[in-house]
Amino acid sequence: MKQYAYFPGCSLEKIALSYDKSSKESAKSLGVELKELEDWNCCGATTYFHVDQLLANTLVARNLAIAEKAGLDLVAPCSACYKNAFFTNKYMKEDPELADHINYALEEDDLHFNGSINVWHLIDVFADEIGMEAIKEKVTKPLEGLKVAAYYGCQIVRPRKNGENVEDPHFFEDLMSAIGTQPVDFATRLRCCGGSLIMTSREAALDMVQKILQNAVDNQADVIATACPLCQINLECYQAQVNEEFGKNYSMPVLYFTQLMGLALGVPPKRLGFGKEFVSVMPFLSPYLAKEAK
Amino acid sequence: MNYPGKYGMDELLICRALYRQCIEQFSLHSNQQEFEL
Repeated sequence: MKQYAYFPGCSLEKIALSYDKSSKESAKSLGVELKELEDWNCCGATTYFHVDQLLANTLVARNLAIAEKAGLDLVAPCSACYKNAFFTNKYMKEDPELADHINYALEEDDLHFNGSINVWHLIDVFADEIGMEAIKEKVTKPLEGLKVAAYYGCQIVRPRKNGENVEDPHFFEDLMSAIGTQPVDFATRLRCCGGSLIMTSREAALDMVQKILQNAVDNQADVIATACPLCQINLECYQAQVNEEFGKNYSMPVLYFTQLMGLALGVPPKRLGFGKEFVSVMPFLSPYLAKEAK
Repeated sequence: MNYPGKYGMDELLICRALYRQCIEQFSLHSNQQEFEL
């Protein structure tokens, strides 16, 4: 079984437990072991980098050094964690002087990062490392007929690797097709969900969420699938506020792509974190869950 | 994000000291510990 150093990040320990559970379960079903990085620390999200860039990169490098010591590539399911780890890895590989600077601080912790590992988003591990054909072969309960709006958000396509088209990516839709769902057209799939803007400019953030939800509704999506805990929260948990603010009546389930993958791979729903939603998934998922019960 | 460039020894010493402070004060692991800013 192929192993990765799993960096859950702070969100998956608290507000995105279902993402944590479903990531581990779906990976395991695909022959991948996510081995939690020992003594990991917060990636800093966007905050650290606005306070002290060198220290922020150093704190991220600590996680990279621990993964490297274990001889494993680092994988993060959270788009922000992924972005931070990806760029710190890239900068240190490209700039030996910067790497020296960061390693000077890491000496305090008896750590050193040589730049010998890769950083992955979990969706990349599934889409690129495992691949669509291998996933199709492992699907035992295809989610046929489920219309999915595959929401990338703004971070997993920045950065992209290997010259991939960042303006019109298709790996998320391909992944959803591989498990039997029907991806719908979704023009707002790369738009920002508002991120932490909800804390400082509620009206602007709700407007961003509303546009994404409306686009999913316009394209007859049953559910939105996401690969980021912050996107999930913004799109799901603020629906009531969006409804109030804009006079709408949205009731759009927002699930992690790993929950849908887990279902299609035959993992029992209770091990995928279902049941903690703000917006009920039952209208759309009950046929698949009932199939599971039989 | 463009990396701002090179650092002098002062910045490196400050970074190392702050890093030390982070790993000592917060114990770092998983943000599990409560702490006051």
